[in-house]
Amino acid sequence: MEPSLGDGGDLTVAELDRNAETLDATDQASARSRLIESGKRTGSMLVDVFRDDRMGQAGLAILLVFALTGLFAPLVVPHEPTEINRGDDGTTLRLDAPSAEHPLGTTNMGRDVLSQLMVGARVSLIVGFLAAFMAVTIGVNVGLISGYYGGWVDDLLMRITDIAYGLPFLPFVIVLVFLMGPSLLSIIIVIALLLWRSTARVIRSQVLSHKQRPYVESAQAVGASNLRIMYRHILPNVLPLAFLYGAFSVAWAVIAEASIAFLGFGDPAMMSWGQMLFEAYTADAIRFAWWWVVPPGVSIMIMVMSVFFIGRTLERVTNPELRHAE
Amino acid sequence: MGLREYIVRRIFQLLVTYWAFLTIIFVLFRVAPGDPTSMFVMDGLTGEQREREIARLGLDQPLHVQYVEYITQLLSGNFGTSFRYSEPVWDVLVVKFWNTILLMGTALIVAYILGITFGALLGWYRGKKVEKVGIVAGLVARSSPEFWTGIVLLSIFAFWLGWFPSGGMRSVGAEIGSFGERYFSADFVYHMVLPVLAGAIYYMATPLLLMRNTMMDILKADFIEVKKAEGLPERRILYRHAARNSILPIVTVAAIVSGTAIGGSLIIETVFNWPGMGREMIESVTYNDYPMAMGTFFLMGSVVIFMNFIADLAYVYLDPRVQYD
Amino acid sequence: MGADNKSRRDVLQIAGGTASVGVIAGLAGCMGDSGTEGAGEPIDTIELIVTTADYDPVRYEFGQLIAEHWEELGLDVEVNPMAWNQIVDTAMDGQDFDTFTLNWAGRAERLDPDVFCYDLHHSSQTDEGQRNNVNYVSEEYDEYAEAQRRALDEDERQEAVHRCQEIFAEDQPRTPIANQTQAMPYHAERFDEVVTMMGEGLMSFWTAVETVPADGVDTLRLGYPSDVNNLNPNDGSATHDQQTMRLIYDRLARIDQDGFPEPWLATEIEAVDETTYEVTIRDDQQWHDGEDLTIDDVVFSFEYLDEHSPVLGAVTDPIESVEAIDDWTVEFVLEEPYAPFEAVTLGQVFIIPQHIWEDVPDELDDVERPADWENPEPVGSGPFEFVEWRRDEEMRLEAFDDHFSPPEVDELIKVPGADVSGLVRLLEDEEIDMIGWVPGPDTVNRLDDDVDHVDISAVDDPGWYHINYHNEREPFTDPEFRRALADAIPKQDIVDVVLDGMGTVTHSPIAEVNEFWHNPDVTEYGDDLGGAQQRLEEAGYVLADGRLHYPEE
Repeated sequence: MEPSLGDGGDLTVAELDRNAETLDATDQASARSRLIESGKRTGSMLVDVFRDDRMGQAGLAILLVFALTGLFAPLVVPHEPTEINRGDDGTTLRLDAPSAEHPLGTTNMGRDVLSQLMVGARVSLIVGFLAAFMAVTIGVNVGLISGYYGGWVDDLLMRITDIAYGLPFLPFVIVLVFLMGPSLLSIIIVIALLLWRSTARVIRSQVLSHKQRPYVESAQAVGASNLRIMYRHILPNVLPLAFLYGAFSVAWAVIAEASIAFLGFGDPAMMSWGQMLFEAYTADAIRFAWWWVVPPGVSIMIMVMSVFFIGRTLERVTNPELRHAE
Repeated sequence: MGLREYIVRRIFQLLVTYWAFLTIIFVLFRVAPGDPTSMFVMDGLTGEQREREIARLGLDQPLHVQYVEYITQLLSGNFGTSFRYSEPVWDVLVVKFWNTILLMGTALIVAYILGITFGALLGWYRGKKVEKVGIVAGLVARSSPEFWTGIVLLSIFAFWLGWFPSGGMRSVGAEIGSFGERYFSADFVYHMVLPVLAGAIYYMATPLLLMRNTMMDILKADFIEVKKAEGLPERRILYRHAARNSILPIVTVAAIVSGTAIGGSLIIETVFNWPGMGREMIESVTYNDYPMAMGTFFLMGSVVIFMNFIADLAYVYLDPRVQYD
Repeated sequence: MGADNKSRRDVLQIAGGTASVGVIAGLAGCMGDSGTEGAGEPIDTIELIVTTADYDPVRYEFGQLIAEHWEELGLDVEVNPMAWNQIVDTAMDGQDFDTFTLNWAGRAERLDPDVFCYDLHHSSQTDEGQRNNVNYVSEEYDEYAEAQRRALDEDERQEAVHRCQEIFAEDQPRTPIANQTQAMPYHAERFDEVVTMMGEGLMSFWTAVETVPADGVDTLRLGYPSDVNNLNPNDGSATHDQQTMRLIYDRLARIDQDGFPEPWLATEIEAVDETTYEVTIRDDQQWHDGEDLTIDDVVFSFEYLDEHSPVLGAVTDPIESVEAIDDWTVEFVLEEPYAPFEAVTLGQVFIIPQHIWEDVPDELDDVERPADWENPEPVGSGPFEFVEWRRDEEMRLEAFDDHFSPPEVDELIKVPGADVSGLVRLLEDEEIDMIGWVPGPDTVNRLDDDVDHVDISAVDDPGWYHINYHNEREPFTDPEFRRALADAIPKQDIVDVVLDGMGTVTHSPIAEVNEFWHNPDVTEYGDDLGGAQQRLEEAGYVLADGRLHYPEE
């Protein structure tokens, strides 16, 4: 749940509690074999849920297409994205409608829209996945430590989480990006800096419920270290949830990057989809040059949607009850 | 721990969060590269004049002195004077604050009315094609950044159909006298339709999906059958129970979302040329107008923190299962 | 993640604005790739600071073009887009740059050549924060820059100004690139003929005052992409603020449409001798609040603004004393002869009412100095009277009918937009009448061709797009190197492609449109890559391994 951009996940606090209960019921295995087993279980469960979920499959397929596009963009782009294309008579091809040479037309500076779109996929993917990865890494660790140790550690970490929640997302990101300079890396870091908070809260509540369970107690009884219990026993159990939040984080990060770029705080050297829309918007092209406006907008939408589809599917791993609901 | 103690403790935590928030603002804006006189430099400030200017603004003091000064000023309600406007920050913001609150508040209310209604319907039509379509539509809405939704709405309703104005808060030259005319005139509402819709579409997905899930849970429950056997119409039972069961998540999430929708105003106000806090935030940041940017950020953060606090309280108040820990 | 990292680098290369184009090596070959023998050190990477694409697409785009061409000389150029205020801090004020692009706006007050000749290029103006930020130092140049300030005879002054331009063109401390055509759209059915002015377009003073509306139209709704910052005559650092305040406050002189000062609130400006001016003012003018405007107000204004205004204080510097010599005449004594006095000083200092400002800031709470007062209801004597201002919504000004030159419209509403595209939308929807800003060339063409009620007012802009070199930094210390850089700049291409033909190539900072002061016979550099290469070769620079090296010590 990343409320900053309009409440991310479908999960509510109440549902989280319920999830915890359902997990309780399935926890019977011994402490020692948990790691391998749960790893396997998560794996096979993933395959299972995706096998009979068309939405999830569609999400994966779309994401794959974007990833391939992004990966091979430099090799297959029909034109250099920054190149100013000229017509046969040497004049710049300004706002040229789609043609065989430029399937998605050109921008006001005569640049090929399709090429920009393809290259833009990489920026969204990089920002989305890197920021989400960083956010989830921070979130999971904070959640684990906070939930497991409790006491003042928990208090401190949760206050920090509260503070992170108190910062208005977009304004904060923009102020920071402005201060750090608009590079892609700073955008990623800044997004991750706030995005971890929801993961931390959710993971903590999961850890709290796991802490009460027999397998943790038995691990403690045989003298396993705290670190070991946290990372080898509890972590595998909360991993599916981390994946789910990872998926949502990717979606928010992609939207956040696009929003930052659209407001003009993006990395000017990066041709991202948000940047494309921003340029189209400032060039006043939204009124007539549909070929320049629609592709990046729809691409952002589809990419985010594919991640949501995947998220919905992952949700059934974390919430088995849902698997039979539809 | 009782409810009262819990609330006292939450208030204490709120204060700590708030103090941290204030400190973060201070650190952010005082380490900013760039300096407030830069806007004036090209127009003839000499080095000496610059220094005088910096001294006048207190920017040459050691940081801890500036920090104490800053906290005292904030606590006494003094936001300082805008570098750019030569006007007290508060005077500028108070108008824009309400412009934003009205816009985003309406958007959220619309989002929740639509979301709850459609969510309930989707739950009702579970397993049917309508439901699949509805869910996908909800996800599409939430997958579109607000500026994209805004651009699409503008293209359709302003450029193509010409039904609504393409931006602004009221017609150019509109006379306004009273507060009522300011915010409740037909002209104002007319200008508000598209931006409200842009926000509503984006924020609608959350209550929609929540409501649908709750609805499905209820439909599975046994007591429905019992009630039905008692002769009550299914629809009525459904709404009564759905309402009872969904109020908790809906209210808590609503409080959180409304706090954060404040941030979304940056985008909607830019696309629709709405003179609110969001646009002011962006402008003051680009103009290095620190007092203004700080003031805006402070107000936005305050709203968010306050709404989070309300969410917490609502949660314990509404959910009897919660232990006050 | 590894794949991601790799692809990020690729993105940097592909999407990057750094434009590290490989085409260059081949082309550069024609200069004779002679190996490093006889060569000095290779020239370091050159940073070229440009604005971000949204702040000014023109500067951003021509920066890229210039970089590509310079790279063909064997230079390594890194284009670095920066936020505008960062450019002000780093480059313009901090003087920490190799090269950066700039557009010197052609405001009316800048039509007088003094700003160009003296402020921008005199060797005494090189401190941080001053305007000779390229650190151009030339004794010969200084001589003429000072001469034009002293020359009260116009022809004599013209001669000196022409010499300044020649020396400047030869030394190329900055390279002028183009003057943009100021094409601003307006509602042609409500205003069939607009009055405009070079350098200011529809934002000019004369547009607001003299444009005659169509029958039945009494309001002029003027859009601008941002709102006024404040209406305090002590501040007025922003162009837009000044343009608005001069509608409310009168000045003794105005810049006419040809760029020369003419009496405005004054009826006569007489130079008694080289350093003494006698100015007679109108005897029947009132303030907007009904009080009479007296000679004491004039004296007060100059003394007050000299003391309190950081901006106007600079233009009142040459004044030694100001004194009322009778009921309607004031005498200015200058410290030394100062030719731009009428245009720069009298043309800019606002006449403010003593009965209001003598209490500022003493009688006000929370205001420490006059420039900090918000001046909520400005009282002036100008052709427009302040009515209401709702920030970021609109500002209403009403015609002041008792003015000696009352405006043709009854009301002027200033409409700020979040950006130009919002304003274009409003104009198309007939919500506003004029846009005081130049939209992109495509929008201009579209409005002109497709929107019936919109016409374009196109005037030449004496403002100049140019590129600055740090004259005290290697390799820009060498004038021959700067000349080569200038030669490599595709000026015509910039006008054709980036400005879509809406502009003209220029070689002097004083534009052709500023006829009297412009020198048409300066040395011209640009559009000559081959010449640039030859120039470098002859100066001893060596191209080796595709990289340009300094001449051997």
